Order: sequence, then structure tokens, then C-alpha cells
Amino acid sequence: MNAVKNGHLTGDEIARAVVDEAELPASRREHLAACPACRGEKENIGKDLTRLRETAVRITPPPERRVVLTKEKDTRSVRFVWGWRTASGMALATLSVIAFIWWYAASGGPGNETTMVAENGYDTDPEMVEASRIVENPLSLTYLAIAGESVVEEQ
Amino acid sequence: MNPVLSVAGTTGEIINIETSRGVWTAPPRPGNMNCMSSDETNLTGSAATDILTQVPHIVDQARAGDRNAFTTLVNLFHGDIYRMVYYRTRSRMDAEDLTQDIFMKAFKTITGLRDGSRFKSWLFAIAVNGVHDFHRKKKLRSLLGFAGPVDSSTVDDNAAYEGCDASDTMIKRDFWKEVTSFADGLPRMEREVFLLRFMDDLSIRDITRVLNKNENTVKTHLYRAVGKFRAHGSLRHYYQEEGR
Ligand SMILES: [Zn+2]
Repeated sequence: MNAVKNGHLTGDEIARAVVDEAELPASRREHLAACPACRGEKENIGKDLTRLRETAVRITPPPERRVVLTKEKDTRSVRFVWGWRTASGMALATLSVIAFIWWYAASGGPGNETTMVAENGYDTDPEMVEASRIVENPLSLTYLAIAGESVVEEQ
Repeated sequence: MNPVLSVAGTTGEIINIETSRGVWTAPPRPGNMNCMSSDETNLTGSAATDILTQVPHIVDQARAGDRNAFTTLVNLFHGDIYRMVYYRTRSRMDAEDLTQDIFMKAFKTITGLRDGSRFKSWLFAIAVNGVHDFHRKKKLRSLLGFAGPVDSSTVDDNAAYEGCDASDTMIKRDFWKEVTSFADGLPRMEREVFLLRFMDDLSIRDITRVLNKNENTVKTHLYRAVGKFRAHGSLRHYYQEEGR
């Protein structure tokens, strides 16, 4: 039992033995083979590692979805969603701009200012009022009337 | 005689694979059975051994464009890859998404795999990269302030163990907490080789291929990680409880 007398394996040597016993020097392998304490410790760590893996496998929640093989994968649907969202956003933005212009033209400041000027008598010429409206507003009186604005009261 | 495995069914169905020792039935994929274990695709027994020896041949067929052959590979390795990802993300939803991505990437690039016997390590290499990429993006989102207020893995765990016995759920959560505590305390390479060797059950040779490191490097990281595992006593309580 000279091997046992060589001294027990260190923690590092036990770890090496767990990973690959062949990595130990021959004298240490002999000790491991002859020493129940060292062999027991090495085997216990091995069992603990096996239990660790088995426990992990057992309590991993099972998947609910499975792998689906597609030629273009999900990226196609992702691209579609992205494209759809982008198009929707741009359409909404465009509509908002148009609506704002419409609102601004229909009831916005410049038109009212012009009317106020006219009503205050600074410029009572109906044609000038009309010209001012056309300059200030991109929409003609006809369209303003369609929009519900009473713009001919100056008459 | 052609030893090729015939596959009955497609993804989503029970798969029967003929081997020289009979028909091996891939376990059905569990549905929403949250308290049950992820016991799918546990390749055990002689029929399973037969299948694994056929993997290089199945890979050859898949490389030649045989979709059914690739489906067989998916069914053989789906459980391994899903669990591998789950161990590293602790989120079922993320694990499902990443597993899908990993197999799609493999599906698209399998023609570049020259040696069919290396399929498993090749697949795991894709998975390791996929998980790293996932964590990188998650970190970036977090830095940019896009991350949600609650860790997705916590939310996912709650859903995953919904309906389970409370004490059972507690043990499971504590187990993952301990595993995470231990693994996160390791340097990156030690953690990766430890997980690949002792959680994912890869051989040292496979790990050298997955990580593109030489054997001595892998073993050195493993020694160190095992030494730390040996000193980490609190994990033992949980797996001994579960291991009974
Ligand atoms: Zn000893």
C-alpha cells in the first residue's frame, strides 16, 4: 500500500480525475485505484454531476412549440409585418398632413386674420378681401363654402 | 441493403424510425404539460444507439436536399438543443424561438457540413453562437433602455410552472437559482465547457469542436470548473432532493 502512503489526492487532482483519470500521473492513478477514500470522493462528484444533469433534464419545462422548417422562415412574415406597419404609418402620416392642411385652410389663422382686417375696415374692398383670401388660403372661396365656411358675408 | 432510416410523419407528429433492431418511436412532443418534465428525445437503448450511428448517413441525405432526412435530424436533436438553450436563457419562450432559429440556420447551411459524423458538434456550435448572440442583443436592448421592467425568464418560469404543486415549484425555482448562481460565478469559458460537458452531456472531443479549442484547453477549464463545483455545496441539496 505504498500508493496510499503517497498521500491523498488534492482537490485539484480529484477534479482532474473526474474530468479524465488518464490525465493524472501514474503514481497518482495508482493511489486513486488503491485508496477507497479518494476513489469514493471522485465517484461522489461524478454521481453529483450526473444527478445535476438528470435533474435539469427532468425539470426543464417542455416546449410548447416545435421547429417548423420553412424556406424563408419567419423572416418573411416579419418583413410583411414590418412593411405593413411602415405603410400604415406612412399613410396615417400623409392623411394627418392633408387633414392638417385642410383644417388650417378651412379655419386657420391667415383666413381669419384677413377677415378681421376686412371687418375692421382697414381694407374694405371686397376684391382685395377675396385676393387676400386666395393668397392666404390655397383653397378658393368655393371650396371654403363647400367646407361650410361663410366667407361671402362681406358682400 | 439500404440502412437509411425511414421517417413516418412530419414535424408535429409522432415519428417512427425503422432501424435494424426494430422501429424506434420518438416520444411525442409534450404540449402544455407544465408540471411534466422535458423527457422528449431521450435517446436510450439499442434502437437509439442504432439511430445515432446512422446520423452521418442521414446528414448526407439532408445535404443532398432530402427534407425528410433533415426532419429526422430535427426530431433526434430537438430535445438536446431546446434544453441546451433553456439552460442558458432560463426562458421557455426564448428557448423555443432560439431552437427554431438554430435549426433553420442548420437547415440553410447543412450543405457546408462536410463530415456528417460531426453533425452534433456542428449543431451545438450554431447553438452556442446563437445563445451568445441572444445575450449580446439582450444586453444591448437593456443598455438602450428597451428591456422590459421584469426579467422575461421570471415571467416565463411563472407560466411554465403554472398549476404545479407549490413546494414542487419552489424546489424547481431554487434548483435553477442555484445552478445559475454557480454557473454565473464561473469565468465564461469555464462556464461554457462545464455546461457543455455536464449539462449537455457532450464528450470532450465534441466540445473541442464546438468551441474550436484544443483538448488541453478544454480539459484545463473543466478541471477548474469541477473543482469549483466540488466546493459549491448548496447545489447538492437540490439535486439530492430531486434525485430520490
Ligand atoms: Zn487517498
